[in-house]
Amino acid sequence: MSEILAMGGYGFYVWTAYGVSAVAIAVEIALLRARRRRTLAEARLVDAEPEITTRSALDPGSLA
Amino acid sequence: MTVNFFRFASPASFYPLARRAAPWCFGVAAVLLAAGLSVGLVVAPTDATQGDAYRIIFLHVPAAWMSMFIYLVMAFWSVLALGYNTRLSAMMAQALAPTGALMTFIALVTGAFWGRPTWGTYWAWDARMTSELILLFLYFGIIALRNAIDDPRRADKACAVLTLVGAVNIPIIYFSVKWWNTLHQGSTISMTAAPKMAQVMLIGLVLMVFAAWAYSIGTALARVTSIIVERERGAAWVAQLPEMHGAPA
Repeated sequence: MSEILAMGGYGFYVWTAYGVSAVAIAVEIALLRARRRRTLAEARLVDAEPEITTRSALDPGSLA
Repeated sequence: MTVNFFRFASPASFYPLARRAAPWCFGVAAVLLAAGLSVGLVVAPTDATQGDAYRIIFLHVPAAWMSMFIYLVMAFWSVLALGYNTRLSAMMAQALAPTGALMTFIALVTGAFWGRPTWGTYWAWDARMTSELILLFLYFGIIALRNAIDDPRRADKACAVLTLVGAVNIPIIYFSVKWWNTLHQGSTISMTAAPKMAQVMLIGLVLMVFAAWAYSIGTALARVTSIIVERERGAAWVAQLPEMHGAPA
């Protein structure tokens, strides 16, 4: 195990490369999930808004 | 049996397909990643000249290949978006850009930490590295351009044009090590000759390449489902989705 961590003296370079990549991938996945939640929440809000209706000036009794 | 692929050019019919396929892609990516890492970090022997520093190859090469390939796929979708004015093509191009930027970032960072022990420097303004850095700026530029334009259909066209103009950089990256005398080495693996590396190292590399493929397809599909809902919200089919009514997102 300690042999793998040491990487024959190159441990700092190898594990920094792997560590930064792992963090970058984790950030992308977190952003994807956050976007998905935000998108669905916003779409639900749009869905919940009452439909926009206008009253016709020519026929005030009806909804156009 | 004939399949009408144009059916899936509609966001409403592509959405359920992408939504179902994305978790499978992530599952395949996780399995390939676990296999690739165990071969690359444990099973594969230490390199005779580079020692264990060479193990960065298992991240660097797949990420660098994906960074270029994702751009080519974006260019392909951009051609369709401009030629056929299909919305989903532009959405796919949009969905790929952040993952392309991520792969470019990983290629640059792992390259720097590989370069320091083997070449003695983290960075040099050589043709391969500079053109790869320009690729990162192209991805950032495409993402920023889209965010700067309010009308999504206008943003589709502007981003498609920028993507196609930037595509000239891809052959420059690919052939840079042939065209110029670079600090970066030439290719170790080519289509026309036997690979110049040990078989077990090659197996680890191939596993990691396919892991990168599965991950990139998974993120693109997962992201395009969000993009579709963002742009189609208010449509009746979106309102009827189970995930709009409390089902797991």
